[in-house]
Amino acid sequence: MIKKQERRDFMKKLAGNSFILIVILLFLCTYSYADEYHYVNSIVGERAAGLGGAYTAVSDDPSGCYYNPAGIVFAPGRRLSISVNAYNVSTKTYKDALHKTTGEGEDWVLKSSQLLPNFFGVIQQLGPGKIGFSYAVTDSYLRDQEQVFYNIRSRIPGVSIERYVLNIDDEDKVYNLGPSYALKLRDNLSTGLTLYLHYRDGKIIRNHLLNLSNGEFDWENYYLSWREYGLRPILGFMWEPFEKISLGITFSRTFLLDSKTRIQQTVRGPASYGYGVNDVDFRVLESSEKHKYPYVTTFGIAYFPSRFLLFSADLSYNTRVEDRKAVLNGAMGIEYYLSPSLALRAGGFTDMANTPRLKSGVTNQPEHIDIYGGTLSITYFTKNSSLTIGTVYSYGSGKAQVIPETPAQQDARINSLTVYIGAGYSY
Amino acid sequence: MGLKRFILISLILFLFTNITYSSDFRRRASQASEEEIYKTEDDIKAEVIFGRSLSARILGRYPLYKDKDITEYINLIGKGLAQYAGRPEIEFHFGILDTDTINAFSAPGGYIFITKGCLKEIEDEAELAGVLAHEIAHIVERHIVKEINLRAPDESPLTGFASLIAGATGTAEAVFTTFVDKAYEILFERGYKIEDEFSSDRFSVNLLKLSGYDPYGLIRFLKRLNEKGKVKEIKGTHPGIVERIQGLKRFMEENQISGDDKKTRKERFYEKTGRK
Repeated sequence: MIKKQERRDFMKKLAGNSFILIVILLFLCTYSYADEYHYVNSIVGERAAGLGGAYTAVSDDPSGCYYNPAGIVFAPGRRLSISVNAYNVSTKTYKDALHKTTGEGEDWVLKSSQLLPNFFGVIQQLGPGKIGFSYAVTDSYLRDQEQVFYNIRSRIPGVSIERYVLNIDDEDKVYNLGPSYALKLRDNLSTGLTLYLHYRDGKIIRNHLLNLSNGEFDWENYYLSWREYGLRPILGFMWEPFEKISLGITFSRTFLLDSKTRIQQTVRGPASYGYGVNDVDFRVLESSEKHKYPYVTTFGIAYFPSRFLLFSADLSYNTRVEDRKAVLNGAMGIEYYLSPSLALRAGGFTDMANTPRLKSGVTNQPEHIDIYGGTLSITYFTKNSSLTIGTVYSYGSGKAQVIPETPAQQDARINSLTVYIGAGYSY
Repeated sequence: MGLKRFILISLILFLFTNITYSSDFRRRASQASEEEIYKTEDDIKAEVIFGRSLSARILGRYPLYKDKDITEYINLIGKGLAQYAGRPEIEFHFGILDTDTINAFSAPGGYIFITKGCLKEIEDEAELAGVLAHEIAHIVERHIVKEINLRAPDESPLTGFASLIAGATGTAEAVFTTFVDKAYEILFERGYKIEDEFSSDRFSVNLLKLSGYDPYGLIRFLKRLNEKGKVKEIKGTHPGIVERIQGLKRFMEENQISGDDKKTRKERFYEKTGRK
């Protein structure tokens, strides 16, 4: 098995072998899983998304399989639910990441946009409890960009990059799918278990072509792909200690059973670095090292003052894992029925970085961007069905270090907007 | 307080609290109560049409016992009970099945049948009322309707139960027949859910009390069947008779229901059924 340190060394070697280091920094800084620096990367569920994901103490519909399986036992009858991110666009901007020969800074922007069915769930009675099956996409991005920069500084003395063509084809998705079962221990106390199959599939393809001011060129191609399989059990409890109050708690963690990563680098460097017309370097690294995930404990409280109003709040604690620090995130939501057939929901959430704040004078630090978000949705109900349209917006700012082996830091911003459609049906 | 301690205390509270509340507060404005779900005019219409079809199926299995006087008598008792049952929107019909099997059946929409064999085992009018009230309870509480999820259509034209009732298409007819098959299976093979049977027993006691009959009518009848060893015939479609008797006793004790000065109407029962 190739250890993480070996992989890092390899990456460093790749960087060292790159002739135009500025290219490598763009490559390295984005070599991360879908968003390994944050834990709240997707808010799923028709109703739950409108409440900002504050659903641990509610969970009385199919999306409870994901948020708190103990809650599905309180769902009336049989129901299925689906939600689709009809439009999702997110941008990550690194301020002045590149510098023109004139000294002027140029931002580097990574964009992701996609249409994604991110949740499907169904629940029904089975024996004394409720059984459910759900599918959730908990994290994803899809980048397909072509970028051209002109007159960029390089780190080769006396040589600039006249034209830098960068093509990006990145994709990463994390799928959770599996059964749930929930049981009432008392009238006001339930427990439930979801056993998700965790499957992650991703790739980063970067193609760089640089025309240098000395008439030479450099072409570099990187292909990274990874695939993981694992199990993610979610154990939940739901307790109604008082009339109109519900408390929920869940414990979960993803345990990887298998993981494969492949990194491939192909380089045709500049002639002044000894490359002949037909010389191409080709390097490959394969790794089966298993990525580690944190233990997650989520506590939720919900208050149901009337049939028309609901308040909910969640606190989620992710333990420290490897070089990622422990993180506490919060979410709050409110649901208000304008009429029995029309409900409004609004929520807010935090998505704090699991990386430490960047220190000055240190190199190769992961970015640190704390994100805050809001959600809004409206649902129209008929006798057996519901239709929801909603939006999730999040914004974060922080610092990044996109150039390896240098202490320079960049201001970084994340913006994400999702418009989603959800539907539910009781049968 | 550390997180671990908080979790520990919460778990202890989870396990040892005895306070219980109904989770009804979770019901949202968009979620109708069970009563509301089934109370629309279309739902009632669907239920009656469905019950009629199921009754036809029951009568296909056992013919109707054509004794006008006894049938009128049964209807008199049954309709009297139904007045207190809380479903004024449907009309109840009572019939006797010409079989020695000891059983009683109900179909949604107000159709109730008692077998000739069952009538033979009954000793007074309170017992008869107890059996009929038990069947009325199945209808009032919509046990079959809920179990097979029989409902009028949603506003969406795609759900199509309206066309199903009207029998507009072959597919709709086939679906309707499937529903009737399921209900028939409940009546003659699977039986009702155990909790539905216990609930109907309790309902029966309350109905007997409300209408002035001896509330021990049903329990007495069940005891006699048990003593005579004639429980086999109703075993297939009802839970254990001993459990039912115990459940009824417990219910009556808890609710301090006594049979003092309540009527059994034995003489009238004997007279109307032609017994001496």
